Amino acid sequence: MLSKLIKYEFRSTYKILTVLYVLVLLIAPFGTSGRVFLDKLYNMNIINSDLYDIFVASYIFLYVIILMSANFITIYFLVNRFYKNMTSNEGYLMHTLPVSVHELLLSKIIVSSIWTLIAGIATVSSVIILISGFTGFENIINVISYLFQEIFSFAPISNTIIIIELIIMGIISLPLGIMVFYTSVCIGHTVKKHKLLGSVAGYIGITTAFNILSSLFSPFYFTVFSKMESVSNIYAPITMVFLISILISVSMLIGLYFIMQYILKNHLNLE
Amino acid sequence: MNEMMQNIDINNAPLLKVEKLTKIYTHFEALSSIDLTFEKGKIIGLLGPNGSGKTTLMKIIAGLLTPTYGSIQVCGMSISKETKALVSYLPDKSYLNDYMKVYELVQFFQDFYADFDRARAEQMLGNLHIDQNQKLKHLSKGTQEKVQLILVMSRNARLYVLDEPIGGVDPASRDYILDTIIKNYNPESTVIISTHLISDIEKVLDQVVFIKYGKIVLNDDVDNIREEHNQSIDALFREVFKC
Repeated sequence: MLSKLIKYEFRSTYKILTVLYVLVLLIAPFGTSGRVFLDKLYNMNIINSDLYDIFVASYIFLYVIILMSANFITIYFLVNRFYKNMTSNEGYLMHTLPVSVHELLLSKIIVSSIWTLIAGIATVSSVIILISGFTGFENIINVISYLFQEIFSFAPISNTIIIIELIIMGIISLPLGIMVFYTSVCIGHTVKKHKLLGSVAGYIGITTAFNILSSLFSPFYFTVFSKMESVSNIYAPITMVFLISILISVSMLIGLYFIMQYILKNHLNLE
Repeated sequence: MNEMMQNIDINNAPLLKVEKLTKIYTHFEALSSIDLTFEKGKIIGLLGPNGSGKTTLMKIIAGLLTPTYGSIQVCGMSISKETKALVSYLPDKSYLNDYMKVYELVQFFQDFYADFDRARAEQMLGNLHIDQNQKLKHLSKGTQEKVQLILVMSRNARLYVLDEPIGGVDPASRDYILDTIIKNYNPESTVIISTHLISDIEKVLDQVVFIKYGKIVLNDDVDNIREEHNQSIDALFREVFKC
């Protein structure tokens, strides 16, 4: 049943989101070729250097706005879909299917996490395409490998652990980001009138809880870093900090899931 | 072993058993300690004015609301995804994904419900000349309601729970729908219908339950009622629920 739910979830979301990410990827070469065109105009003295700068700056400004909007639209679209499908009219269909609340939630979380990942990949790819247009793709690879080499020129074992931690943190952030919003929607659902206010209050509550939880560990971080003998020993404290960050995120993940599941199972009240 | 025991329960247990069922919203008691037992093979009318608790009871059976107190069992099991597979619920509103086409909704029901009879659904859609390639939102409200009803009635469920199935449709379609309900009658299932249009539905009912302010005021076979009170259900309803 979970695979069927996932199938329908993808079917309902792929049209809009695919168009969005194709756009994100396409505006990069548009920028590169645009710049070539601008260069020609400048060389033919049709535009002066001030006008040239204005065009470039405007393009960069618009480009950043478009990329940010794409990510914002992704989140808004997925959260709105959750709201409609689980707590509005469509909820009559979804919650009477012979599936458990776990299966409903997991299908949404898995699909949204994948879309969030795709959005991230599209954004990064777009930036790489744009920059390669100016400096060449090989140069980018060289710069990135140089950076990596400098940062991780210390003990190899510590590198691996930190890289693994970073990867884990990246993977956890995918469902965590979207679940904060989903849980806010569920909390808003329990408020009789003013569901939107309830959701906003829920969101503030969740992020506050997260911040308090993180800041509880600041004295510990301080101690750990001040005990460092030299900069070359920075790996142990960093490993600790990342580990704690992972533990906090995992706790949040479990807590948020529990709240969502509890509300949808016991306090569902579709209008 | 567990499955075997469940099978025994399904075949011998009453289709619906409700004991001291109470649902309280913040300041309002929608259902007050209801007791009901429905056996299989019946068409039961759940009749009462607006706000009497009919929809609340139906939502609890469908698994959309949890009781505040009391218990409810469908085929001997408490409400779970297993009972949802046995219950076919038609809400009193548009609830299907209206951006989907009719044939996609048919496919959806077939994917999730093992008891869904696709051939039956397509035949009924054809009888009512409903274009399966249309998106649901492009159909008229009456046609949307017919599509919803056809999908729900095309399942071979144990318990059909229909909330106002004939409210928004024209009289000719009403007859078709009631015919469909009777045709789908089988001695292993029971249909619970809530409606205001009592005179239309009276002829198909075996049993009637009157509900008022969240309490059962009458629960009897239609024949008994007609004999005892010597009037139609419609007339009795007007008497019992006089304003």
